[in-house]
Amino acid sequence: MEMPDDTEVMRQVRAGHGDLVGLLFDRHHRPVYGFFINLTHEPTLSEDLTQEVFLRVLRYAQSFKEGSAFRPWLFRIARNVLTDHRNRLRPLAQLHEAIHVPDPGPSAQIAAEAAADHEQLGQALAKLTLEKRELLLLSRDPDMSSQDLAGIYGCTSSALKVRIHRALNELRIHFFHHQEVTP
Amino acid sequence: MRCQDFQTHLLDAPEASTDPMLRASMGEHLSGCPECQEFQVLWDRLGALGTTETPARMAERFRDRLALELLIQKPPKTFAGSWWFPLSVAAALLLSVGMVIGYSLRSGDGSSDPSMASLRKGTEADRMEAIALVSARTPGQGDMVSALMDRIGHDPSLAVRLSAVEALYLFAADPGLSHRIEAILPGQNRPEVQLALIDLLGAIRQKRAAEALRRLAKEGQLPSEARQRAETRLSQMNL
Repeated sequence: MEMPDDTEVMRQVRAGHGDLVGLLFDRHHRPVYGFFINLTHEPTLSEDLTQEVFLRVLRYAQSFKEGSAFRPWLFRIARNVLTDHRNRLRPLAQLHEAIHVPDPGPSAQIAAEAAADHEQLGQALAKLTLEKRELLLLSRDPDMSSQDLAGIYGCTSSALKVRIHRALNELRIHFFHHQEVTP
Repeated sequence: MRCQDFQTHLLDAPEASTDPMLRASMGEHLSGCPECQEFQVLWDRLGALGTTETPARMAERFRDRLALELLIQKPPKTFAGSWWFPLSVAAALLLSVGMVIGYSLRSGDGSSDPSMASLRKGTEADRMEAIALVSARTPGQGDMVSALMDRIGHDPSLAVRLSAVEALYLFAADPGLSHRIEAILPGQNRPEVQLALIDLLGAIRQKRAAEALRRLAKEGQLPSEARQRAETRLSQMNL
C-alpha cells in the first residue's frame, strides 16, 4: 500500500487523526533532532525540544496551509521552539558561551587534519551567532529548496544566498584560523 | 571560473550537480584554488551534520507523550461536559500506566527508575513516564501526593504538570487532597492546570471538595474562566 505523503498526512491530522503525528515524527525527527543537537550540544534538551516541535505540529495543525510544503513549516516551528526556549531560560549560557579553541599553528597539514575533525567544526560553529548557525544548518537540509528556506526567513532567495555565503565565510575563518579581514 | 562564481554555484549544490558541464568547470577551478577548497570542505561537512544519531527509544517516548497529549486535548465527546468526564481521563491514564509498566517489565533494561527522585530527572517524557510508574507502584500514598504536588507547582513543562494532576485521580480518597489542591491552585500561572485541578476537585465528590469549589468560585484572584468552571463542577456534584 502506498504511504501518504506529508501533505496528505497533515490533512488527516487536521481532520482529527492526531495519532498520525507519530508517522511524521518517524519521517522527520532525525533532522529536527540534528538541528537542535548541533545548536545546543545537549542531548536531553534536544530530545525535549524535538518532542515539543511535533506536539506543536498536532496543536497547530489547523494553521498548516493545504498544498504547502511540510518540511519548511516544520522547521519554522523548530525555530520558534528554540526561540521560546531561549526566552524562557535567558540568559542561556550554553548557546552563547565562547568555547576555547586551541591554536593549532599555521601549518596547512594541521588545518587539513582538523578538517576531518567533527569536534573542531562544532567549535568553529560555536563562534558564530545562533542565527548564523541556524541558517547554515538549515541550508544543508536536502529536503528544503532555497525557496523554502527563503520563505522561512522572509526574504528572497538571492538575499538568503548572500547571508549564507557570509555565514559560511565566517565559519571558514574560524575553522581554518585565518586572520579576519575587516571590510 | 572565478571564486565568486564557484561559491555561488556551491550554494546551489543540488542544481549544480545535475549539470555535467558546470560540474567539470567547478572541479577544474577547485583543483587550483585553496580558498574554494576550504568552502567545499566546510559545505560538505555541514551537510554531514544532518546524519546525527538520535537517542535510543526516542520514538517510543514520543509516542507515549503523544498518546497523553491526545488524551488531554481531545476527550471522548460522549463524556465531555459531564461531571464524571475527568474519571474517564483517569481511566485512560490507568490504562497508559499499565502499558508503561508492561513495557518497562518487558524491556528489563532498568531505564525506568521507579523512585520518587525520578520525577525530577531526565527529559519531559522521562518525567511523565516516572509519574505513571511511581504513582502506580508507590506504597506511601502521602509521599506520592506530595511528590505530585511538587511537580504541579514546580515542573517547567506544562505536559508534566498536567500528567501529575491526572495521576492525582488515583489518590482521590486522600482526605487532605481537596485542601491541598485548593492551596496550590491560585499560584498556578497556566489556566490549563487550574482548570484540570478544578475538574479533579469536581471528581473527588466529597464534601470538602465541594466546599473548596464553593470558595474557588468566589475567589477574586482566579480568572473568570476558572471561577465559572468551579461553579459548573459544584453544580454537577449535587452534594
